Amino acid sequence: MKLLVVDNEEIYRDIISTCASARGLQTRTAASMDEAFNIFNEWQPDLVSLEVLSSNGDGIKLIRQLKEAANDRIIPIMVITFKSDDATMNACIQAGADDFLAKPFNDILFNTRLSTHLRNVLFSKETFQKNRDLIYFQSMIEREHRMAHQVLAHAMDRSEDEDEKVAVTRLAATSFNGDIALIKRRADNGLLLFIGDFTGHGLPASIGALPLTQAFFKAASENSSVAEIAHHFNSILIDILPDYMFCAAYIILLNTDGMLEYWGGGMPHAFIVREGEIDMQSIRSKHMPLGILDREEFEDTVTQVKLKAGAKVVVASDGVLEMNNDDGNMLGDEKFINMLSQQSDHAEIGVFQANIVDQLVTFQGDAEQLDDITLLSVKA
Amino acid sequence: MSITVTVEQNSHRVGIRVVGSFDFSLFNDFRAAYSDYLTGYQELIVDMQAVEYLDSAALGMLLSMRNSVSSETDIVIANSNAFIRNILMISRFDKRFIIT
Repeated sequence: MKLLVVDNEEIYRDIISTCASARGLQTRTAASMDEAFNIFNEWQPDLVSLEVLSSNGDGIKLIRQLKEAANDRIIPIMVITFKSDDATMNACIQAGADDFLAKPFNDILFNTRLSTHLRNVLFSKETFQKNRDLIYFQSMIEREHRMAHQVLAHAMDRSEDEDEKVAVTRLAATSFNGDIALIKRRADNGLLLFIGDFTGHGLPASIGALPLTQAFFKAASENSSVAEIAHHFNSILIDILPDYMFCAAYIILLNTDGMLEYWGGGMPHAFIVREGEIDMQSIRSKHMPLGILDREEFEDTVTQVKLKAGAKVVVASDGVLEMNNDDGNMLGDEKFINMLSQQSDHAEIGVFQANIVDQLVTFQGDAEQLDDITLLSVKA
Repeated sequence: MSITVTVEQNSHRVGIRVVGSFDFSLFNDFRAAYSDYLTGYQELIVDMQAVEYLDSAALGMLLSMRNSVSSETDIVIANSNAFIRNILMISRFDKRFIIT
């Protein structure tokens, strides 16, 4: 720690320097204002003691100049002066001085004050450094999130979002959370869907997405069964993800006859909407998410649901159901069901989806969206 | 501290109590909490009574714990509220943990 002593009298420069040196401080002295300002800028002291009567200038003005030069660093200025009247003290404090001691001063008092100021300086230096670190890490994470969005956008490029039977909406939050939705119509006209949610946020959450995406389109072209796909995806993720990461998912195949087959692990229940009725029981996760159980333990039991003509299946990531409004209330099943049941049965899937998204946006209001939101609707 | 560990005297049970938000910020602390008890214990009990929120990162941390701790040792996830219980059950954590 460095103390700059500004005093026109040599004896005080010595006394203050000696006191400070005894406490392990480095010191430099200045006998005039000009000299003080130059040393201040060149040597960058951590605190300053100042006799406002020093020659060649105005002490009050110097205090202002030093405070200005310090910018956002905290560099306490202790005025130690013979001119100890109230008016001078007020002027010094107004100009930005942090302390005021009258000469001749008591060395115990000086030491106590010095300790207090040093503590503040130390504390502010730590805070300053921590803030810098935080800003650094924050910008790194923002960059990673942007990169993750880009990686996933690329991965989902081949997804057939424009299929007339499906609508998918992806609303990205500032903190990317690893939602992924893939759509592909197979050669037999069956519609293959994948809705996944990787653990965690940012770039790490996206690492499993690339191989899964490739495997998805390959599986679609080979007419693989839902169970085979589940097995394969699980194997991929077991191999590449660390043990604390996994992917909650639905793998859904909707056949042309309305028979829906699915494998679900770790995802919220889906909704089947028909004639204002909502079924939340028929499509629900029965398994642990992908990437947890090893190949021998993995369960590939697939469930079949026969959809009636016109029925719509809605899959919402937990970002939808845990969405908050202005008042901090969570959307939850009940309000979401309410939104679904108001939709016309005859609406095209695109219109149906757009209406729900409108209502979600209205619900959200000005509240910040914390999670990525993925909403997928498909019509039988 | 957000995590406190208690070892019952003359017993083979260890309690790990998590307070507040159980999320990625506890990644290292949580691992440190059980790393001395990987083998030789009958039960590790993760007490969720004071957990207000739990995210998928926490689920991952629990799975990682299950992987590290001897398969002879039961891991009990105790005192979850309805919200947390629901999250655990959706991901079928009952297959690997005892949920009470």
